[in-house]
Amino acid sequence: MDEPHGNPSSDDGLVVEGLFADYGGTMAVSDVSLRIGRSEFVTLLGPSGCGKTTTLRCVAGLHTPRSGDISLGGRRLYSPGTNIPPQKRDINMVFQSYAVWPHMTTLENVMYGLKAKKTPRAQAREKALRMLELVGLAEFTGRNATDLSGGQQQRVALARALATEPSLVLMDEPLSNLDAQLRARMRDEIRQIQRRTGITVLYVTHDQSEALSMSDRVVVMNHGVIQQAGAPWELYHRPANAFVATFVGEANVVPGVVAGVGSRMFTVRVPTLGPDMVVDIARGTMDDCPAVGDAISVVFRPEWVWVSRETGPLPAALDGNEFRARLVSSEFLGDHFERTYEAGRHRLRVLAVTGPTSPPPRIGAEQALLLTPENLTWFPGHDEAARAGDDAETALDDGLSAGVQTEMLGR
Amino acid sequence: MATLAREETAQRSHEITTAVRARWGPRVLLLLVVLLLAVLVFLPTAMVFVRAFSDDPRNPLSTFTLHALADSYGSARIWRILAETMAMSVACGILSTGLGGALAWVLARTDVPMRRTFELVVIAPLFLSPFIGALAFLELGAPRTGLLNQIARDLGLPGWVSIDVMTFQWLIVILALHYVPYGYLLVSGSLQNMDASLEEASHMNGRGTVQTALRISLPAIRHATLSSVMFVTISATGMFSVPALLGAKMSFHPLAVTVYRATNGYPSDYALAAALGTMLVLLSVIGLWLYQRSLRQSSKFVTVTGKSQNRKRISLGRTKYAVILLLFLYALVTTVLPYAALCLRAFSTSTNLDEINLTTQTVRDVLGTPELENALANTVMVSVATAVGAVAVGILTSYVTERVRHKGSGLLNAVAMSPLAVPGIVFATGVFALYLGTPLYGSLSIMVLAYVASYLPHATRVIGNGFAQIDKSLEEASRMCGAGQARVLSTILLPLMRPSIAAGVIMVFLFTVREINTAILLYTPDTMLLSILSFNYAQQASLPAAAVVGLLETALMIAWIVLMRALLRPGKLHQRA
Repeated sequence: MDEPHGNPSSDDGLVVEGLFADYGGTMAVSDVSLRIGRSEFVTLLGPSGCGKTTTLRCVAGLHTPRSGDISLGGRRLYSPGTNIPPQKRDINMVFQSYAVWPHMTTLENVMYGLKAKKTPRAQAREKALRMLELVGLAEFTGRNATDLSGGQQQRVALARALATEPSLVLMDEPLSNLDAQLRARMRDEIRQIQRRTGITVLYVTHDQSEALSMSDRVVVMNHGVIQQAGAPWELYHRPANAFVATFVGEANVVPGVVAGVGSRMFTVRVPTLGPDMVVDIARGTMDDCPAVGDAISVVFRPEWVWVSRETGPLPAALDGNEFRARLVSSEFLGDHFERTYEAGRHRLRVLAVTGPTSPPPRIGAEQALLLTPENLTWFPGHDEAARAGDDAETALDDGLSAGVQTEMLGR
Repeated sequence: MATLAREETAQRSHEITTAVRARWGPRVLLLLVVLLLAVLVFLPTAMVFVRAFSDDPRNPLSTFTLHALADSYGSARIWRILAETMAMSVACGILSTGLGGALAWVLARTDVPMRRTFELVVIAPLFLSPFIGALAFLELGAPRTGLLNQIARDLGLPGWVSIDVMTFQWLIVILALHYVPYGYLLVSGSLQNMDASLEEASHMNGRGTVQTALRISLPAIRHATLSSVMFVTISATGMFSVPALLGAKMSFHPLAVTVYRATNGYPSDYALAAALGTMLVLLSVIGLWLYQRSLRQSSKFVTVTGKSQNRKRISLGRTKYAVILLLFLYALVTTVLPYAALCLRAFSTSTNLDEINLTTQTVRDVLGTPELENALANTVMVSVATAVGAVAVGILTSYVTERVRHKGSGLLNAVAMSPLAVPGIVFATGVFALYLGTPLYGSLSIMVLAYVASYLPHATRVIGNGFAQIDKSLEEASRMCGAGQARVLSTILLPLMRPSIAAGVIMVFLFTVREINTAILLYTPDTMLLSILSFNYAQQASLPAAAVVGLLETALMIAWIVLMRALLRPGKLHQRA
């Protein structure tokens, strides 16, 4: 038997292949493919309008894609010619607006899906009560659902989604309407419940800390295209392009050309950071290594930079991986400084930790910054397109600390 | 391997059939709505136009004629009538919207006491049929014999302090007073939905109460105001009963009355009536287009947050007493005096203030007639059937336009709204022509069919607003929990829409009980209605009987409201934050 579409049944989770979807004529999702294993917690992360919610709604069956393949547990949910209606997909969903039904009590809300599945009443009730206990709402069962606070409504929505024991639970920015403290608590709770119950979750958010802290794997999207997928640690330390580097955490991205490759390190010329400036990068940080002459982008996080010479006049010659930088701004946050430096044609974000003996910094001072070879990462290419201003703007429009882009000066 | 393949094909084909079925449901629904609207709305309207070109609608081709068009579009007299009709209805629209809007502002923004009571006072004229209201004003302000004129004479006031309601000016005032609740409701909704922070920001920028009202609130409700003027104008253009009564003594016969005279005069000229009807329709279409346009524009200022409850009210200070006095005066003129006049007419043998003689004889006589019993039963049947029918079709139409969103569902909405542009008496000529010679003709069903179509726009608007207030994710959540379309409708949508459904059922019933404009061409002695009975009594100059029937209508409306509120318990709409 031919298997033209691969073999999705070998996987018990969600398989999306070549998904294309448009919203009102504009393409919202282009060629998205992803796999989620059983009991896995996967997050779609990206700025608003990146297509993450559209992808989620296509999986839910609430939006009909243009083309592609969606299957769950080996059962095809969507392909050209097949389109299982949402209520038959064995998927449940937690909505951004909670969508708790105002004309039902908390218990009735949670029992709703069980009744739709023709579960005997006593059994449905018992199960719904168990779910409400799981989310910590045992004493609110008879309460009119809309009399609850936002956080409690969120729990009702969660309990309702879990009650039908779906093969997959979708969560569409479920925490975005909560205040910061509650959000942190719900984040832990959702993760714990997911671990305890072993449900499979596809989560959508624009909040990178939510994505990093909760997920087994994160899929970063922008402009309807998957930018990178991987474990949170991997995304942070091995960004595949400038968008991922700056959207997931803050990053300084500097273009360079590989000048030499050694056994433990390789050397990269970074002329925009300073005349004749070269940096050594430890090879251990990446499995593969670029060849001499390759154009790459060097990436370093603010907390990876070391202010090596804080005060005093700088010597004529600096050490290797060290370079001059002028302090532009310095914000004292108690445990650290958030600083901006100008070096060569770049503006760099630096997180500096100083002790009680060092004097407060002087704006405009010339200092030396050190990039240790172990604290550098890179991705191939210069990726100018992805660094174009509009990405940073969409990210900032989102109200996120998307990570300040390395600004090129004098251009 | 082969069995596996077969199993997979079997599973796939099963899934494909479910998918196909899922797509078929909405299509069947769409088809149903298209058919319903075609039969209810489109065919009768089309018949009006067919009829304008033929003497016999059963055989339009062989009796093709252009004489009706020549007599209507080609007649200077008709154009003069048209101009007068427009003058009357536009004046009505402006007056009632101005008064209604001012009342809305006072009740929505200021700290005037007893707001809930005054709100009821403002909409109270809705419970009085415009015809009965006109009758009451005739009792009050007829030249010489009117009660107010009698009082003025008894008080020794000079002769020029007297009123004559059978004049063009008073006709406009009386009609406008009847439409004030419409102006109030349309403007008040817009004022209440307006984002409070728009006005608060104006205060923060140093503007006072008056400046804020003029510079912020008024522009914000401009479109609602315009849509109210348009709505009242269209409605007044088609108004037949009041001008027929008050205009009888002057030579003013607005277009609707001219249509009636063309059909009920001798020899009756149905083609002319239809041709005049087309003029009314075309006029109304322009108005309706403006109305819809301003309605769309007005949605820009609406808040979605629903957090405008804590609005700080404007302190009126001493002007409060003047405002209260004006509100009492309004209540006196629109409600207390008319009902007093009706009661006096019904319970006294004479309305001459010197010879008042209270008796229940007239009331008992009128209530005892088999004619009235018949009319009461018919009215209840027709009104209940119309209320239920219009709301049911309204739900179907709104569901298709708001939720199924198939190609062309916007057009359906326009069709459902189009009866607004067809005045009742004109629509009746179309219904009349359509069902002539069928068993439906001369039955109560034909009235229900005509009424359902006439009040479909009102029902669809109320139900559609109800739909729009329900967040789509509430339904999506239900589907994700495994509920099919039918289950979503019955367990989520309908319960959440109960307040709108109650409002729709109450409103349509009220309109139907009062309705004369449509029924006047469709009734037969067997299908007599209360409204027609009162009209006929008034025509025969048996005013006490007409007054009794009018009071009975009001009692019927109140009974229905009480009954529906008990049955449907609309309560407070559960609003989500």
